[in-house]
Amino acid sequence: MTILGFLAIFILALLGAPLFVIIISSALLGFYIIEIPFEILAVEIYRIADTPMLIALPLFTLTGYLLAESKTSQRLVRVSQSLIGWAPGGLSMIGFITCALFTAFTGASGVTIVAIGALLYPALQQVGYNQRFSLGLITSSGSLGLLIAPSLPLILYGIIAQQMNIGEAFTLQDLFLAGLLPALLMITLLAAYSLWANRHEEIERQDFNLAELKAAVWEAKWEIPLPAIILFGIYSGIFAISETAAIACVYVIFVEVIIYREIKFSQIPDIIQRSMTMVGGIILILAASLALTNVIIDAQIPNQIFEWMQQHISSKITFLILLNILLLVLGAFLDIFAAIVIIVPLILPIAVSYGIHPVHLGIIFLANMQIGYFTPPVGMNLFIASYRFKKPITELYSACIPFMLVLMTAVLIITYVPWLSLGLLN
Amino acid sequence: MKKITALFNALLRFTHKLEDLSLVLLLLALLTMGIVQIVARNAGLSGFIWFDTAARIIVLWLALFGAMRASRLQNHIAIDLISHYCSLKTRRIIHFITSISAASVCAFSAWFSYLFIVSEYEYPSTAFLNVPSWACESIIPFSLAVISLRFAYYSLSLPPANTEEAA
Repeated sequence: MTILGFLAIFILALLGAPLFVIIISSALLGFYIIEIPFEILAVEIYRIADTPMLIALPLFTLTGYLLAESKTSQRLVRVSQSLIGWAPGGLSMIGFITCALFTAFTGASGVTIVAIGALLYPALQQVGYNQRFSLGLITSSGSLGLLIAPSLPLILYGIIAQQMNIGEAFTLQDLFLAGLLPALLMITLLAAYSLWANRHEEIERQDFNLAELKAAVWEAKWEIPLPAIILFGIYSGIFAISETAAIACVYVIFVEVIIYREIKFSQIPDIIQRSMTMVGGIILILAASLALTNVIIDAQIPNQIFEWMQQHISSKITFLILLNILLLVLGAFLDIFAAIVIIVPLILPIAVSYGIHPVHLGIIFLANMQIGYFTPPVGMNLFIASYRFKKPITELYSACIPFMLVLMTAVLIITYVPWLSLGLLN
Repeated sequence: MKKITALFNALLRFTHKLEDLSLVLLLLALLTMGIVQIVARNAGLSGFIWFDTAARIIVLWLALFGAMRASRLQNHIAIDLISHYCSLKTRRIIHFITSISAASVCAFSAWFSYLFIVSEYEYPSTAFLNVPSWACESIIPFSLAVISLRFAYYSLSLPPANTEEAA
């Protein structure tokens, strides 16, 4: 009966039933097995309101939607082009940095490829990068900002890991700090690769032009402080994260609506509705997964997996290798939010038993997921880029593979050098 | 009969508008409370401690209203691995099966959440200020019931377009 139930849920999941339905059904079946009354479901869903970081989620999402709706991407590209366009490999560096920043703010929802990629793709080819390289760069950079604050997946991992309260305690600030060096490592390796890959190509460099730099900075003067406001708010400890999110949101509304006038007042309700539909979908999944997590822990499933694993895998290194393989495969098939809510509750207790810090696990997890976004055959960003740039999906597969290998190297370093993630923490 | 359909559709449109409006109002309330809280704290004013609890409950309401809207637009996140490779006819059948199952699970959850609210009503506790917990929690069975009705309603319609193409 139980096995039949789980089989039915599994089939429904494959058929494409909404994820929250799958998770709620699994939790309900779990309640039935461990003989807990079904009414507990409402208690578990209501428990989401006990999560202090929760308030930041809708506010940062709205901020990202507002930025994506205005011409921020154009100004961001202009400023970075006049700042580092003169350097060797300058334009590809611009691609990595602007994509990472934009994704950190707007989430890796494909918006980066559409907003920044569409600007950079023709520019890259114009200065002499070949089409395949340009396509690969844009597609693989679309998810580059996942490790940088205030990315939603990072916040979501923090919420789940803190709710589980396993291993060393940490704050969301710790998690935000932990992502900085690994993200920097990824960008550095990608930049080095792009210099090496284009060593025989003639890449036109832009002359450094102070007047253009001044003009570009002047045009973007209202948006340039935004990362500083958020980073200051998060890391200084003067504001709570939810307060920082409120300030960022009000600031962006003020700048885009009143100063730049790129968003009309009348558009705001629509932007709020669209962004909150996404937030609603995610929080409902999150609430359902809190219920399921409790069932999983009550039933001691992680302990059982751990005991089984210890008989076969004794070293931390072997565990980490298997973890990387598992996450890369899952990342290619599962939506990132799905992966976080389903997989984190299962692997966090196991990883902690192998002596891995929860913050380090979060960074490993998201670094793998980031590659999943453009892993053939079903990485979401491949489809978005194929659709946006009107290129066959197979061309994107081959364009992305070199970038994938570079980022896999980065993931291996991040995994086996915990200092990169934990060094900046107290 | 036509009049009844027209009336039904008008009523439906009205509830959709109400839902959209609630999302906007709840978000603006959240934002205002966030700012007031910062100002009050830095001005040394006390008495706003309940804001934090209230704000988190607003997020719950916001999320569940958002989830209702997502079900109206058939926009929920799913692990859709099979339907890409199916014909339209098979996709219709799959869509019917998943929608009906989703509707049943949500209806079941709505009912048991309702029973929980009833028990909370009988033994009241407060969430913040004088607001009882059951009132804050009442959105849970309500939204699940609405989502359930929508899945049932959409089970016979066409499956939604590929979201990746829509991105």
